[in-house]
Amino acid sequence: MAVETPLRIVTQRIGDAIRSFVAGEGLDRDEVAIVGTLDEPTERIYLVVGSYRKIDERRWHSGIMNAIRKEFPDAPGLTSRLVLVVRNVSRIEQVYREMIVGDDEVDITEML
Amino acid sequence: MSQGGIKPHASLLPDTTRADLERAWRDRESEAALLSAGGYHAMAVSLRVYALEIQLKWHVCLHLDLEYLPRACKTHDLGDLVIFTGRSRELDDPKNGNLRSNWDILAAFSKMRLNEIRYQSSASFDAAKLAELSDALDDPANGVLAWLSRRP
Repeated sequence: MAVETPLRIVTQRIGDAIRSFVAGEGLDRDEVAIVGTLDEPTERIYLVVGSYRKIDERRWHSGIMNAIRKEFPDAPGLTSRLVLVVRNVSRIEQVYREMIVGDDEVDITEML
Repeated sequence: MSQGGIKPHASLLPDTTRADLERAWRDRESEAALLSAGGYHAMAVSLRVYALEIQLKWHVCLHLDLEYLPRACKTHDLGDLVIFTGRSRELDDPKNGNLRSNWDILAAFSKMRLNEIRYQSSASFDAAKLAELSDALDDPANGVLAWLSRRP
């Protein structure tokens, strides 16, 4: 990534920011699925956050983006490289099942 | 096509004019409306996402005051295209959180689902998902099309 930090550290901090937001919303970690891919040619990170608990998708989207901005005060452009979708799902497995990793992409779910 | 027999600069696409792009995105929107009226909602919304891509390319030409699309914009990636419209920073402004949410819904669909949808039966589409995509395009306050129409 253009951010001068190893990808694993960047993704781990993104995951930390998301988990911190989730905890602030009063949900347990296992009530939320977080999956992600890195598109290598564009260096863009695609994230899907889903929960079977009823969540306000738009408020969560803004909240998670702000949490990531706070996590990376030294890299204000980082969020422009993210695509984040927040979803209400009936079962948590749905988020993993519907994840698509394209030809030019790397699955970064385990790094989040 | 190149105009007056004079080829455009090599960094531009001679077969993709600003006028072509405008006609194309408006045509795709009209065709999508017909599909939707016929009950083919999934194909309609897919066509509208293609129309969005074409409209972004048209906005690039407007922003850069070019008659031809730059070669650098020969991409299907909405995130790359919006950079050349000069408006990507608006999407990253925390004040525009709802717009950004809508943008991300469309960008993710364009990247991850648009190719796959061709192979799915109409019955397999989630109506709520289709409504979410339509809202992301059409919401009058924070929809991506409304935002694009408000040229700075």
